Amino acid sequence: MTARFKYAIPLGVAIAILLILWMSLRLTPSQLPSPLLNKPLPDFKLKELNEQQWVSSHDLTGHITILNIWASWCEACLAEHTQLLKLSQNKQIQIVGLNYKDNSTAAEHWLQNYGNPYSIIGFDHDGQVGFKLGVYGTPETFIIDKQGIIRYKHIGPIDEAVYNKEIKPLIEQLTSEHDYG
Amino acid sequence: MAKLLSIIPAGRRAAAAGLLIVHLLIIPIAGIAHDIYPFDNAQQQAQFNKLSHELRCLVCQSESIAESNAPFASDIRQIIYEQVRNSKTNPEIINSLTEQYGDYIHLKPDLHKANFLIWLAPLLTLLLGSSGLVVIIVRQRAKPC
Amino acid sequence: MLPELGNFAVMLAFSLALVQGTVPAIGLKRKSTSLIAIASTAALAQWLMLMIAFVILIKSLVDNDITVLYVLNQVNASLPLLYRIGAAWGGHEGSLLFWCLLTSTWTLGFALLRQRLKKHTSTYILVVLGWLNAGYILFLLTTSNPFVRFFPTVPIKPLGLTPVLQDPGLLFHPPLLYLGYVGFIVGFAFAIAALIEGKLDKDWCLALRPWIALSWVLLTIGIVVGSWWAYRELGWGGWWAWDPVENASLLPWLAATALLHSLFVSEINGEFKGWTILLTILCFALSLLGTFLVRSGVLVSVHTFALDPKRGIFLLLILAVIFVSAMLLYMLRMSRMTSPHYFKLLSKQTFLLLNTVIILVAIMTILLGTLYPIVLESIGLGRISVGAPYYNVVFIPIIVPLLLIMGLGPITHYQQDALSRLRNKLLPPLLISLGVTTMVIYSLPGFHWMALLGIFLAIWLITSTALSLRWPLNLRQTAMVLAHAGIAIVILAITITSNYSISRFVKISAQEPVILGQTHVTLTGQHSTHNANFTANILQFSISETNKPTLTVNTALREYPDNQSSLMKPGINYNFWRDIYIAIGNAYDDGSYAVRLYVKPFVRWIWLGGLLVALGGLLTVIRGYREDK
Repeated sequence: MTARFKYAIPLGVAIAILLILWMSLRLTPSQLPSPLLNKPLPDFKLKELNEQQWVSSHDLTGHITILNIWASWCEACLAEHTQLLKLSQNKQIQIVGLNYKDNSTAAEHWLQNYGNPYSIIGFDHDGQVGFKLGVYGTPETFIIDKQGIIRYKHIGPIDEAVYNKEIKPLIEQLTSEHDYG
Repeated sequence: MAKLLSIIPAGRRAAAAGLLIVHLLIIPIAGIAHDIYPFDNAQQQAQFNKLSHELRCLVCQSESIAESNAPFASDIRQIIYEQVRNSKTNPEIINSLTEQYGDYIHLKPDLHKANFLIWLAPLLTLLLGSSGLVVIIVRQRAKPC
Repeated sequence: MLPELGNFAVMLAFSLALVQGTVPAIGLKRKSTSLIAIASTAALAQWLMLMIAFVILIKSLVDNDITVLYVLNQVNASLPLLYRIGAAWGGHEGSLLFWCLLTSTWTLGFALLRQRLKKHTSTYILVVLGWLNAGYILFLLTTSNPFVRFFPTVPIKPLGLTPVLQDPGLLFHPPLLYLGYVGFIVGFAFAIAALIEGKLDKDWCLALRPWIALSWVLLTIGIVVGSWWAYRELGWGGWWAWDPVENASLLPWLAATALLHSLFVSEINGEFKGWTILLTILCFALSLLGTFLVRSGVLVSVHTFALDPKRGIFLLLILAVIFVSAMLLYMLRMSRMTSPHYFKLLSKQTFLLLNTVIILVAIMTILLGTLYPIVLESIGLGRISVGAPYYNVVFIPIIVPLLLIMGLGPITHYQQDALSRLRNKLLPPLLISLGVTTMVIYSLPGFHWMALLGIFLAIWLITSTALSLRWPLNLRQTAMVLAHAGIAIVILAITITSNYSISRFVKISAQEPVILGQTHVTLTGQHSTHNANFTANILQFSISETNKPTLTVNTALREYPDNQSSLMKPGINYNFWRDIYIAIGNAYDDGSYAVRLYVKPFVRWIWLGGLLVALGGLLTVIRGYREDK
């Protein structure tokens, strides 16, 4: 080992650590990646909210689906509600709600007060389906393609920026994928 | 963002109701406070304690499942509790959780895939570093100074 | 008007730091004593300016001047006075100003107390410090100015200081920790000066040691207070969580511990100079790295400040400039500085250096645990957690040889020792500690292998240290004994408290006793209190231990209406031997509570041992100043 090389080791270590720190700046620690991304939607079956019919994971295939986990007690869900209502205008996608650990009457009231963007709502009273989906807070939003593969997950309310930067382009991409593919 | 992310008050009640059922089944001795997660034997109790300290409360970021009062943590504790009582092994329980929530929930990285380095490096540097020092001292001694 | 004045004072301090960084350097070149003398004057003026700015910030907080954005973010009208002052370092911008003030305080301290060093060496040091201060103050001014005004169009109700920080711990923990952290800047300037001059001698080592030791003492106390604060505030009875920010404070502490020991080797005959310089730079590097991790939002932790990507980039830039240039300088200069070696393999020096290497392995392990997940995620392999269960396992093979060698070092002679002599010297402490360990383990309830190991190591360290002493003790030996005994006590306490604590998690109603080993705990009543800025629901517990009078412990659930948040204050009854710790979880609809109860033997010994370590360090500081005269 030449003397020069030996004394260059600390420089190398310093540069390596600085590079790692530089990489770290681009990470978003508050967004937790879901292990379910690019995997098929887990199987589930549950009652619809205040209805007798059943809704299952199979009902979600064949459409581009936005699966939104919400509850009437969740304040942040109200914050994203206008975005969901806007999204429900788009007829190429279906919006499915998962009413999470909620009271069915309170949920019904909430929808009457603020509007209902959902075409189907599953009533996940005990959070079992939420657990299968790896839900740990509300709201959470999944985008599922026609083949039933989870393509995107967002934790927290969807705001204008998230919608424009992430959701809108993905929906456009998925729509065109299906048109040509 | 963290502030907006609501935590689940109704879940608390649901979990509490679930617990109540568990308690009724076990028939607590009147007048003595009882464990929230009662076990038949000490092994299962120890297994539950170990597991709940090894899993991260995802909504609290710096606490384990054992320590947190967040509803998320009590949901996961309940899941662990049921699985431990069903005599599931530690890897089975941890796998069932990492499948839904990702490896991030496990505070102790698995010894597989890309993680072997993180387990090996401390021992390796310890051996390399101390033997390196000994070599330096012995060699320098041989040189005239 | 005052905040603008504060802002102006910070700008002046920036210019003065630049003056301190340039004018004396020119003076050295032109051999002009008057220009060189400006260094101290600039350091003093800069300190005054930062002090004025800091006092103005405190005054704005105390007066609740909510036109200042920082005040609006940190306090509200109902916050008690002491926490208003504490809020000056409770948020990012204020704590950074405080940080700059402390850096400047260390600089001033050095400018006033630099007897031993030659004029040009100390001038180089002040020049380097001037540039570093300028960098910090620039960071403060450009990304984190605490004096920014804010005039909202609609009235805003300030949330105020988060309740977790509203505790006396806020008044001690951050200042002590920061003082310690920041102090390593002096060591760094020493190292750069030595590299520029191409000279590292005994005087340099002796002059540096008290500065490092003082920072180390403050950092030690800061960490101990932080651990105690987390224990009584966060509500789960833990004293160390391997939280990223705790790790960030442990890293420079470890580096400084290694450095102090490496200095003992270098100051004898100038051996292992390169190693000493590297460790000096490492101390400062790790304290800056900690700052980066805490303030850039890279890591998620209980301590993280508000996130702003600009800050992260700026801090990284500072880090890069400082360390790439320092390491380049090291590469170019160190190869020309030769270190003679006089000692043999079997000598005190070898053991001292071996432990600095082991400490470095500990540092590397913590760094790896912190950075590895970042690398994995950056290359798309998903996110993993590296938490307490990992560190608790990998630290065992690091700590065991460290403690064994800590016992060997003091017995061994400098330069060269004989194996036969050592063997005879080692036998008594080995036999004593084996005997005592057997007795202790026998008297403890239940057997754990880890307890056997930990208790043996602690007793080994104490006995071998005690038997190595030669009376009467001098200051140097006393310092070593205190610090090493402190470490032994910490190890003993950690071992006992983590293996022999008992805990239960119960649903508790009034008058239902909980049995916890030998202890019975009963919820006896509850009442509410109204305080300055919170209301508290106090749950009263009675504790009865066999053959002891009944004790009462209060646990509080506090509501802070102005902060829109709540806080649980655990109830703790402590004596010398054990803590009884009661933490309230959720309330049930039937009026009962989920409660975590712990009996934690020896937990206070952890902090006691830590303070003993600090006391040992303090003696080293005093010794340094004595020798200076």
